[in-house]
Amino acid sequence: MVSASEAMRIATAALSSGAADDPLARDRGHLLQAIRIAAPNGEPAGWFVPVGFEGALLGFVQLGPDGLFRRYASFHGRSESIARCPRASDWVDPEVITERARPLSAPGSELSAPVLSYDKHPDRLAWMIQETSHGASSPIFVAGTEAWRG
Amino acid sequence: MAKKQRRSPDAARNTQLAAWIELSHLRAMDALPQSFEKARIAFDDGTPIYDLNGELLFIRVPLLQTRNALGWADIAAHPALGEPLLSTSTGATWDAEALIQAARKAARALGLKETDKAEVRFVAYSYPKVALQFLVGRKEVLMLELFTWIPVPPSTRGPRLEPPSNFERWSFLDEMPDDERAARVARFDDRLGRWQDYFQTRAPRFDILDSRLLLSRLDLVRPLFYASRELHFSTRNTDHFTCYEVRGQETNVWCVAASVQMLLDFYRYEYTQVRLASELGLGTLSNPSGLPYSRDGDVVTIIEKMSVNALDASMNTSPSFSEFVTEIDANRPLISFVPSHSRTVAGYYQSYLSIIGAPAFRGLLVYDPWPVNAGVITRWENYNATTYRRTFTARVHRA
Repeated sequence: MVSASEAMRIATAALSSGAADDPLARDRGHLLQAIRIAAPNGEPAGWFVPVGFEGALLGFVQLGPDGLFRRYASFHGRSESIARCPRASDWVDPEVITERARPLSAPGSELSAPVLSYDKHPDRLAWMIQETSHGASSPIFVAGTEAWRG
Repeated sequence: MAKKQRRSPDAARNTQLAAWIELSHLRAMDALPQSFEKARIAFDDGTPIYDLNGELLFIRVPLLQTRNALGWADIAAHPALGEPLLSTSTGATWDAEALIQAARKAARALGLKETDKAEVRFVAYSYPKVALQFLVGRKEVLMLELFTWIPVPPSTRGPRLEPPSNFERWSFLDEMPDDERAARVARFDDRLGRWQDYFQTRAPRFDILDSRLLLSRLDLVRPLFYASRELHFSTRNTDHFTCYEVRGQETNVWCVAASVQMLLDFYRYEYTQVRLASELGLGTLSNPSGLPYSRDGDVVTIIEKMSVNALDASMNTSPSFSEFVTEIDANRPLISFVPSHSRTVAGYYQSYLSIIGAPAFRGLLVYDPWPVNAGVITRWENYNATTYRRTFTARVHRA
């Protein structure tokens, strides 16, 4: 697994080389701190490097565990507007993410700290929160403003 | 035994042109250091290196700054190598004459009587490993590995395609499977053809490595470096706009329904995702389910049904990059299944150049319905880093 700083360097290079082909992100966006992705079984699964702009999440660079560029995904698409983009906090702030999971949790249950993971396939990125209730735990996934039980 | 390859009289010149472009490109990307700018590519001083079967395989060409050696480049002479520029070496000196003298000295020490009258040539005895072959009357009398000067033993090769051992001679050309050889030759000729067409009337002085000259022509040469297309309203890219939209999946298991929706939208069949999910047997918004692997073929059925058979759909169980290119060039979107997920593909990017040692970048423009109720447009997805399980295509039915 490459380091967070190496992931940031690779993401920067992807934006400038065009492998991450988003002029708005390249010219006006800024990279937020790289977040480690863990597979549902806990194995390292790569890095999520968000690109922010005025509080919105323009997109993200996704790398494999070895630093291999996997993709650049954009929320604004061809539009110059950020109206379609989610708030960056929906994807990077653990408190906001935990609050999204809370309505699905049983009263009195405990929620773990969120871990960036995925639901079945690495393209289906989602934060995973373990809910523990009466000694049993089960996952709740959160992606943006959506939450569901795993 | 593979057929011997005959090259056109212009082949050597075209390969030199390709080498100039690709070396200048490496310099432009800083893959070669600044000291290589304006270096001379000494084609005339190149050393021919042969395959074991006697065919010329590649030329090792010194890269010089005034008279100082900066390194060398290995430039293909045989199209079965697939790439015009094979490798570069920096910081090392290549002096073929001195190496031949060293080899003769080693041969004498080994007691070879014909040392002085033997013709000596370089051979790739186990590509890319090189040796010096001593020939008397076209018959080999000794072969010494380059630099170690250890005799390379005679061939004891078993059947073709058997992996060679660590120190064993084998013919790169004769042992290459026929289909791979054909694919490599086609790739090589395609690359040379691209350079040749463009530079036919604009030939630069291509024995001087020059990234600035290359970059000054970038707008004109860009099509030589990559091919790219995304879906438009029609195949007329110049006056028809880009035409495709992402649809977020409305539940966490409706990626297939969202993908079918995107494809049908493109062909002007507008259905709600709820309706398409129902047709696909994926339940309701409050009680959704995903499409099991055993029912992949339902996608074909539903595309045809929902277009009232105006679309002919098909499923491909072994997707390839060339299929994506063919479909996008024909202005047709694809549904792409990866393990446990479905998305659509509306464009591609294909670089013609590789940084030495790494494959050329191939990217897909993916309209991904994930995350739920949002979706993203992925520009680009690294084709070389992704596993593809199925593709679905649709074309307008012709009576």
